[in-house]
Amino acid sequence: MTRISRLDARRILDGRDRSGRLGALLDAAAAPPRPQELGGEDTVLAAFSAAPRQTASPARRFLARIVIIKTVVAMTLLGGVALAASSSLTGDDAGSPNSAVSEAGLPEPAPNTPVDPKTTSPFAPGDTGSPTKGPEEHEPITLERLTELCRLFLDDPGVAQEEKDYSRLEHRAGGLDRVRRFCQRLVNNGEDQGGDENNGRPGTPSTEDPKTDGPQDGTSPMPLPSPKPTKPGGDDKGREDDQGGKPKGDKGNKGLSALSYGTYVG
Amino acid sequence: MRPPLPETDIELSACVDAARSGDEDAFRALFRAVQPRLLRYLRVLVGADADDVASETWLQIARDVHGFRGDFDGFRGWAATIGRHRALDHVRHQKRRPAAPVPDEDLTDLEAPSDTAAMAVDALGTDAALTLIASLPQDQAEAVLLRVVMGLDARSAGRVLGKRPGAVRTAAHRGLRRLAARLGPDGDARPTDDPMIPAGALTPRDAT
Repeated sequence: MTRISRLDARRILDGRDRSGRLGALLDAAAAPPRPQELGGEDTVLAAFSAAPRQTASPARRFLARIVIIKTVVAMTLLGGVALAASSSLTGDDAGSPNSAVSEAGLPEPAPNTPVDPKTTSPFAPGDTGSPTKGPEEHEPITLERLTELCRLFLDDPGVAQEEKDYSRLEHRAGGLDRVRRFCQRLVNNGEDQGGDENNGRPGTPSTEDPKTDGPQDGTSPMPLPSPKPTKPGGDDKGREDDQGGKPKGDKGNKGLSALSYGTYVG
Repeated sequence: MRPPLPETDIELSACVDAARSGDEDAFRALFRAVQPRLLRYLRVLVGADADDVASETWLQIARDVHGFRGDFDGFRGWAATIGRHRALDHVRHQKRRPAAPVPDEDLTDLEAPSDTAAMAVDALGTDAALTLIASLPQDQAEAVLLRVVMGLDARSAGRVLGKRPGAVRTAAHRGLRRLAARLGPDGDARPTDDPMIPAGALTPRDAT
């Protein structure tokens, strides 16, 4: 085999042709391992078990990222639900609460024009603590306070509307035109059922919904500064340990429980 | 150490996965499968210091295998790459110390005795075969060893050497031709009892 073509060479190198002296030479070079070639195993294994593991798997980091993302999403969703729940308790229309109706008078018998406080309040009176009303917009209103507002309203709507949390009453009532009826029911119910109100809670106003069972102390159930997830996955995607031209391409073989390691039996 | 059966490769690929997550037995299997080949490859690079360099190589593998991605083929190539880097570091370090013997001399010194070894094909043991291969120009020797002993294909070997696959094929081809020329033509009569072979010049084939 003095003339070796490229094709010959490939077949020889691949092990498909190991004839002749050259084949014998290569076979000898690739002969099964000899005992002296397997020394140092204990040292290497000790190093292996002592190696820190936390640098390990990009896969694990990826999993961790997924968990983080899921948590953020779940909290966001939860937050949304809680926000919806709490906003049904709190009059959250940001329009100036105590203006419009005072101008519009008291449209007691339900004018068929729906009154939007935002549009009908060109002049928001800046006197009654308007600078401080911002944060209170999101606070729930207690039933006690509602009842109190209603009493005020029934006595004198104008006075009630001067209250800075009046808009919540209106919101709870379902509109300006329903406030009176709402309040009549609320106050009557409360008075009918006398004193058996825990937390000053009068029985159950018929139109009332169970959401009133929320915290009665005026503290917001969930402050909710609308969570802004900061995309935990997107920032360090490319940070994988690229050591020494490692080939990528995980085959994901699992389950090697019963593996025979008999590469070199002999 | 023939090219392993595909089945074995699959098992060893599973070992790579398991070793990544800390399985000691799997790592032991990888060591046993790769270390002999690695050692032979390193012998061409650093001669008698191959054992030391192999140890350094495995310490690095043990430390970094958790972040390794790939199958057993990739693992072999990775191990060869690390081993080669450690070997080159070793050679550089040796050269900086004038008192120490320069391993490169192994290669030049081997030119003469390899002719002797070449004539003893039949009785050729692993050591003699490696010595003969090591007498080739280094790029050819590395190409042949990576292909034949480490069991890498041309592309993987090229990755280890930082060369294109074509360059690896060419080097390996030239290496084979040179080896064949040195071995002489195949004949019916194998020169087992060639009088020119000095007794004891060859390592007897190991019967494992």
